[in-house]
Amino acid sequence: MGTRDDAEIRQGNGISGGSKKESNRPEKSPTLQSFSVDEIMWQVRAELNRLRRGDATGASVSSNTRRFDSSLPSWKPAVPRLVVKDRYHLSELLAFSDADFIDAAYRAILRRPPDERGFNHYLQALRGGGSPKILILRDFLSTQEGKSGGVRIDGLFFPALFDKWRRKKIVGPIIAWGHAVLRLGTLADRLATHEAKNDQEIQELGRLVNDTSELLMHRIISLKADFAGQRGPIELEALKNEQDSMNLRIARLETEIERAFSEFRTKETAGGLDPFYAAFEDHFREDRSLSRARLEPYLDLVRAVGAGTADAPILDVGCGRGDWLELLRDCGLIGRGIEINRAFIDMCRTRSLSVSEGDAIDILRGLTDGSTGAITLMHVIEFLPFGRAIALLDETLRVLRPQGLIIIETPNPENLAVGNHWSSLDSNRRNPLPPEVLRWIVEARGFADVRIERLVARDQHCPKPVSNDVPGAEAINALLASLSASRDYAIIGRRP
Amino acid sequence: MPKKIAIVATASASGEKGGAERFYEGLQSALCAEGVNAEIVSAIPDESSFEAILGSYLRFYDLDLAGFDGIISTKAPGYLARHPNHVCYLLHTMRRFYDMFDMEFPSADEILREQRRRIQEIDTAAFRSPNIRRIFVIGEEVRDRLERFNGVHSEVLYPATTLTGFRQDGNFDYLFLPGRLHRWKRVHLVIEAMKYVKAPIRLMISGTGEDAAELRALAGRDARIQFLGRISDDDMIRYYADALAVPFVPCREDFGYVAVEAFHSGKPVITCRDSGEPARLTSRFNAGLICDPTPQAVATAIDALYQAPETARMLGENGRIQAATVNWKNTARSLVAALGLDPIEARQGRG
Repeated sequence: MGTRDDAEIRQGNGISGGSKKESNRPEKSPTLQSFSVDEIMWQVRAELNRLRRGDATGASVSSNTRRFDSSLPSWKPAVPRLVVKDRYHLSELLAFSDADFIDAAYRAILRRPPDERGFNHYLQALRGGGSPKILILRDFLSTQEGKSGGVRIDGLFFPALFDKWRRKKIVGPIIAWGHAVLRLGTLADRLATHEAKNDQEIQELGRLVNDTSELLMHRIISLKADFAGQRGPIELEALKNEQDSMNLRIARLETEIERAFSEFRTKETAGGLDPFYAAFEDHFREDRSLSRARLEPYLDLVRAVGAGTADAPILDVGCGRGDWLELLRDCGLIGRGIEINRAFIDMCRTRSLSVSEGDAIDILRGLTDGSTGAITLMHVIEFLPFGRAIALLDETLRVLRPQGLIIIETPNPENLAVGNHWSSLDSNRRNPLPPEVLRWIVEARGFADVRIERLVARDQHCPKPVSNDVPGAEAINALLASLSASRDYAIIGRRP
Repeated sequence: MPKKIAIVATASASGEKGGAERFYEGLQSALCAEGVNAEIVSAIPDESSFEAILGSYLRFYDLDLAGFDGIISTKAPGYLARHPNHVCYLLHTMRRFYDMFDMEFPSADEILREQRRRIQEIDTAAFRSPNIRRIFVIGEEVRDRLERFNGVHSEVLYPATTLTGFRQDGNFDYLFLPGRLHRWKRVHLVIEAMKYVKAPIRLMISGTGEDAAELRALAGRDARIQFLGRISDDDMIRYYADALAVPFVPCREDFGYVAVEAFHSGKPVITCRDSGEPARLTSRFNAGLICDPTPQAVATAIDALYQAPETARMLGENGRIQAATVNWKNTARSLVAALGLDPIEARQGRG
């Protein structure tokens, strides 16, 4: 046989403690109801109680009692059950008493359970003493129904005859007295038998009461255990867990709301400051003609890679006033800007430049792979936290077509003035990135042929180095050199 | 103090000892040997009416087992018992509401089908109760049923037999079939097979049961067939020892001690494809013949073994070797471990 079967026999001793429970539980089958066993058993208990109650209200007491659950003891008379047969001895039927006797008579002679009217009639007659058992039996036998049943009761003839005579006028009392005197001899015996039977019933009843109270006690204890020991704590535990997870959710939602709200607020204020920032930048930046001259070297670079066509446009991230986009347009190249500052966007639009409004990373994410000829980031990267900068580079790489160009211009901290004063000009800037660092980062993100271009200072007014024969020239020139380093540099790379 | 474990058992109303009763005793002594104090807590389930069955379910559900450190339930409706440290080692559910439903009630009405649904619903909910830490079953037959009807996974853990002193030095003389004489055991199949058996071989049937009279009538005046009635354990061992084979052909049997005892006695088992666990074991151990559940097929198998006693001996030997690996010790250890009452700890606790 297969080894698979063998492997599943758990005869080994490799079974560890009961922690494997989860693997024991199947996924709930969709066809099965999901009541817990406690819920179901609660229903079962209620149902059985109902059935028991319903049974107890029935007229018959003895022979037809249905055998329900015996978890609570129920009283049964000491008299044995009636067996259905064709022939009885009188004593068998006389052994029953009261309601049981009527019931037994119906079942024995008429072969049916008593109807309510008949039952009540005979029971009253019996209890009133007007019609003793023997006469009732005779009555039953003499009815049409009784005759057709064909049941015989041995030993009924003489007692019935005697009973009949006893009821006659004048002779009746004499016969009755005579009979009573004759029976006096056995009175003590009969009384003793009667007493013994009564004692037996009382004993049985007492035992039953004890059994019942013991069982009830037992059940109360187990119910208590349910509440105290098992079910209660489990449910409480479940509720507690639920509450914990709710609290956690609320806390998460709270921070979420707070974050969203503060983001909204900063956006609000930032948006409100947009025109101010635009004016500020406009004021402190070089004038437009100067700026254009500064941008011209990049033209050759984008032209060299064939960017600026309809299927490989140039994307200018953080396009600001749109100087670069305007230059591109004037040179017949297709460019598009991305800007977040509302005031700048308006400026661009008045110059009929195409600008997308929004976060650069979000917008880039919406572009397809390799859909762009060149991407320029002029004075953008130094505003971004490190993680965002990396994400921006990654999106750029993806969006560029192969051989597509990336140009990143940013202040050059090699220049002492930039490192110290210049970059402080704009409070939104973070620390300027040293050229080698940025080059390494860009390369590390997957760009090829990454190089640094230190842009020649255009309007950099810096004293000329002093001639070497001037005393202290070495120190002076070293200081001057660090002041005359290019204020901006560019990182240029391409998508491999 | 040794840990106290209750084996929740169902006592048979007649007081007759069947496989289940021997199972309880074997389990109890094996657990005690592991150093825990195992006690059999039993109640008589009343199956006289559906209400009575529900009442029995409720009675087991209400059992007070607070004084125990763990409980092992074994049979319907014992697994209803509530205890936070509960491991089920299932013999079987109430089969007449499961795989035997169609056989028992060939023209079941709506009421019966509803009763079946309710029993299965209660059972499934009970097996899924968070208090049951693990569910073991006595064989693949029971495992498959539990999976199919209740969607509950379980692990097979074979019980062992409590009979000891099996002999392997006997002759190969007759067919021996012990067990309860009940229609689910399909003893009639073997009796009918005897009509087709050509070999002059006797069939000894031991045990009692509700279908005894019918089976005797079916055997008629076939002198080869002998009913032994109830026999002692010693006689049982003796009858096994001199048997040629044990034709044990029950219908989807849960475990079948008879087959295991035949293996221990080194006797081949003749069983049927649909005999459940005995068929699986016989096949896996290569310890007998497996045939279709028809008198002719059983007869063919009997004749085959009669003509080749050496093969019978060889198959019997296969069974004996394999069955020796199944013992109560491993079973008890697994159960004690599943209850988190580690055997070693338990042993130390005793000392």
